[in-house]
Amino acid sequence: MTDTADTIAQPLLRLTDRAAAAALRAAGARWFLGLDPVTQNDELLARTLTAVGATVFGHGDAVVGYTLNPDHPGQAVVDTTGTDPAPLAACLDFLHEYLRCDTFVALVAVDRDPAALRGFAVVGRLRGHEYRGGTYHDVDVYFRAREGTCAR
Amino acid sequence: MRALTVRHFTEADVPLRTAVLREQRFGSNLTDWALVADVEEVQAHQRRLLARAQETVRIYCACRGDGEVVGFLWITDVDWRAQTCELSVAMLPRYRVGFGTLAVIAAQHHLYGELNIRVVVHRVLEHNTMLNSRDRLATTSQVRCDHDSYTVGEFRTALMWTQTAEDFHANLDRLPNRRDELGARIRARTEKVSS
Repeated sequence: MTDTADTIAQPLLRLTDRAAAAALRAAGARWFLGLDPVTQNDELLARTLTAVGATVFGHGDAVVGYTLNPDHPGQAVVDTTGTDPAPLAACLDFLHEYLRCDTFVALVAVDRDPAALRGFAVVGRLRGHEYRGGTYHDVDVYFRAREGTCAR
Repeated sequence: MRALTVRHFTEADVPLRTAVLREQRFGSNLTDWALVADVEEVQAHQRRLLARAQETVRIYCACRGDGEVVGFLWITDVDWRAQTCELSVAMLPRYRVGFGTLAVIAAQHHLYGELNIRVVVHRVLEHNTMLNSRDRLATTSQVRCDHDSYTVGEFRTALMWTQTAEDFHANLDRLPNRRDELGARIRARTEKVSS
């Protein structure tokens, strides 16, 4: 079989900030990397992504992304829509292979399914960190280090 | 289920809102600047608000269940730390009877429930009884400001009041009672006429 542009796997598709904003709205994803399509319009979502230096990818039906911790270049804050672990795993591989990241942080509200965060562990809880539906919600802080990683 | 929902205003909505801003009664009831400025400037201004001014101004479309836009709402002077803003509304002419209150309620659900606003400031020019009756304006307003603005040939007096999130939810709780009372009055009148 001959490889073609269609048959070569491209699991992570880099999105422009405008495309990322539209994808997050379409996914109905709230608080992805701190963004909220319910309270922010597409222009503001795109501008915020630019301001925080976020990188966002499409991966099948999911959206996945990261921001680098400015105080620790080997650490990234990551997020994904949906509950499939595969898009986030692809993002972590990308971060390790191209940006030498080996520790990862994610914030997930306690009433959301954390199934996508395979290999992560809860290391803390932020009380009343998110506001939606007329009330504040607690958010769990998840952490994962790559196996065999030297502490940096 | 709510009769109307709100969504973010987009570039595609600019021509329709421009037409509303340039309508004579809107000019008299809120501001007539869009009747003075040229159409291009009115449209460019809204695009600037969309792209650059989300920190202080946000515009929403009120939509029916089928997605049709029935009016526009916007918040101005947003103070995120104090959690306050001013709310304005303009309905399309054919949706001005009955839909205005529903649109304001839908917007208030969004402001208090999602945007985390605690206090909404209302400002209505005294002659504008499109959404609030004269009696209601008289009993609700907390501040009266003579010569507040000059629209379509006259100085206007503004009436202002604040509404907290608690006020909003208390009023919502009273809504079914008001609907029941209204229904009973209509039924009584109908029975009297038919007997």
